Amino acid sequence: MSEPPRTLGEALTEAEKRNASLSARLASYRQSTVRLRPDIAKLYDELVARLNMIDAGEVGPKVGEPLPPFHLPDQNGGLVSLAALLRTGPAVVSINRGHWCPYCKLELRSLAAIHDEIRALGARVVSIMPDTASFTGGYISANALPFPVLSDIDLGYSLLLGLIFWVGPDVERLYQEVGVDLERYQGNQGHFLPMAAKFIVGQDGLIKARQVNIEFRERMEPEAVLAALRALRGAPAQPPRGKSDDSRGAWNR
Amino acid sequence: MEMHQVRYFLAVARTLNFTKAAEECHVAQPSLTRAIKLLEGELGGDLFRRERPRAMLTPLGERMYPLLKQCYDSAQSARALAAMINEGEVGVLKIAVSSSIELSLIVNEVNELRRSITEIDLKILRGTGAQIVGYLKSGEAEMAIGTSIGAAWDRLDSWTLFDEAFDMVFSRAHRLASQEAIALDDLKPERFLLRNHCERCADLAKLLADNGLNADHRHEVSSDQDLLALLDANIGIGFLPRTVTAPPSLVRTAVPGLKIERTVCLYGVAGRQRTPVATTFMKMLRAAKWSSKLA
Repeated sequence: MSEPPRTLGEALTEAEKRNASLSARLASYRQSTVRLRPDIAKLYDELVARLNMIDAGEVGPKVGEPLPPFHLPDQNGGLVSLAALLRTGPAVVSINRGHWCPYCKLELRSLAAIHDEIRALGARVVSIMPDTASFTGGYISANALPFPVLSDIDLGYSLLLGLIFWVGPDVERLYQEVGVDLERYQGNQGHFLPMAAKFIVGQDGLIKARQVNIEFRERMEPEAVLAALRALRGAPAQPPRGKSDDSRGAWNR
Repeated sequence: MEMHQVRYFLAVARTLNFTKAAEECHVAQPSLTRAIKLLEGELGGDLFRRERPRAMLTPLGERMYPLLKQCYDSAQSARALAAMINEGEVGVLKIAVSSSIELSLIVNEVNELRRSITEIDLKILRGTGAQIVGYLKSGEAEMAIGTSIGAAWDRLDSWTLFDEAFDMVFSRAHRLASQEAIALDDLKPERFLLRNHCERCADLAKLLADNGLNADHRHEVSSDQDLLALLDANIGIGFLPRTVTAPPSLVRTAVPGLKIERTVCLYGVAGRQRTPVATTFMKMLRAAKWSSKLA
C-alpha cells in the first residue's frame, strides 16, 4: 500500500488513477480532503446542509419536461445551441461548477472516457459552466476533453434551470484563501455557483434522465448516462419535431 | 434559487411595496411573500425591512440587488432569444465602436450570432469616446466598445475585454528606420502625429511633453486611415495600439521611456432594458478568450 497523498493535488491524481467507479473516485478524493483540509470539508458539509434545507423538493427541470433552450459560446467563441445538438441525436448536458472544481474535473474526465460510447449511441456531450473561455480553453486541452465547454456568463442559463446558489461569505473566504478566484473566472462579481447536474435530453427536447447533485461531491455515474442513452435507443422512436435528416435513420434502428 | 423568487425580489426592490410587486408579477401576495422568505433563507438574512405598506432594502438586499438583477437579465435574455428564434423574428444589433478600435476584433462574434440567429440587422456607429457615450445616452446604441469612457457617465456598466500597449510607428523611409535602438533624445526633432479619435490622445500628448518631446507642434488626424496615409508618405511619427494593423511599409517599435497602454472595455447602460440579441452578444464578448484572439 503506497503512502497516503500529502496534498489535495496528489489526492486528485490518486483518485483519478483508481480503477473504480466515478462514485468511488469522488469518495476517495473527498476522504482525502477530510483528512488534509478538515476546514474545507466542514464548510462544504454546512453549505450542502443549508442548500438541502432550502431546496427540500426536486430542484431543476424534471424528467419528461423540456430542457430550456440555450445559445452559449464555446471555448472558441462559437455559439452552441441545444437545438443544434439535438439535430443529430440526444444530448448529454452537464452543468458544472467551474474549471477549478476537483469534483467536476473527475466527473468530466470520466465522461471523456466514455465519450466514444456516447457518440456510438448517437449522442453529443456539452459541459456548461460559469467560467469564461480564458479558463475553459486551457481546461479542455489539459484534461483532453473531447466535447465543448460552454460559458454561462452571469449564470443566466443556470438560473433558468433553478440551479444557482449563493456561495456565501464563509465559502468565499475559503476560496480566496486557496486561490479560487471566482470573480476572475466568471468575469463578474463571482458570488454564485450552479449546482452540479446532468440532463440526458432526447431528440424531442424532453429530459429522459437527470441527476441534480445538491451534494456536489457526488455525481451521476457514467454507466447511468450510458444506460439512459441505451434505453433511449431501445425505446420506440418518437417522431422528432421539425425537419428530419439522415441521422434519424441511425436513431430509429 | 428559482427564477420566480428572483423575479419577485426584483419587483419588490423596484416598487418597494409588496402589494404593488405582487400585482406587477400577477401573483397573490402571500405567494410572493413566501417566495421571498425562501430566498432570504437561502441568502441567510432579510432582504427587506417591512415598514407597512412600504418595504425598504436591507444592506444585504442592496448588495444582492445588482447581482441578482444581472443574473436575472441574463436568464431572461436567454429565454427571450429562444422565443425570438422560434418565431423567426429579425434581431437588431446596435453597437457603438470607438474609431480607435478595429472592427475586425468583433467580426467573428457578429458572424457567430448571424449563424445562430437566422437574421440580424447590424448598426455599427463610430466616433470618439465622447460620441460613443452620446450614442449610448440617446439609445442609438445598446452597447459600446471603447476605452477610458467609464467616468464619462455614472450609468455606464463596464467590463474589461483586454489590455494592450501602443507601438511607435513610422515609415521605413524615415531616418530612424535604419537605427537599431531609438532613444528619447533621437525623437527631439520629430513632429508627432496624434490620433484625435483615440481616447488616450490627451494622455499621449502629456506623455510626450513630460518627456521633453514636441507635443505642441504636431499633426492631428481623426481616423486611422488618415494616420496610415500620412505615415506611409513619411509624414510624422505615430503611435498605434497593437490591435490596429499597419502595412509592412511601416516600422512598429517600442521606445524605452515612452510606454502607453489602453484597456479596451465593453460598455452598457446600467438598468436599461436590452434586446436579447444585444445581451447575448455582450455575453459572447465577455466570454471570449481575448488573449488568443489578439495573438
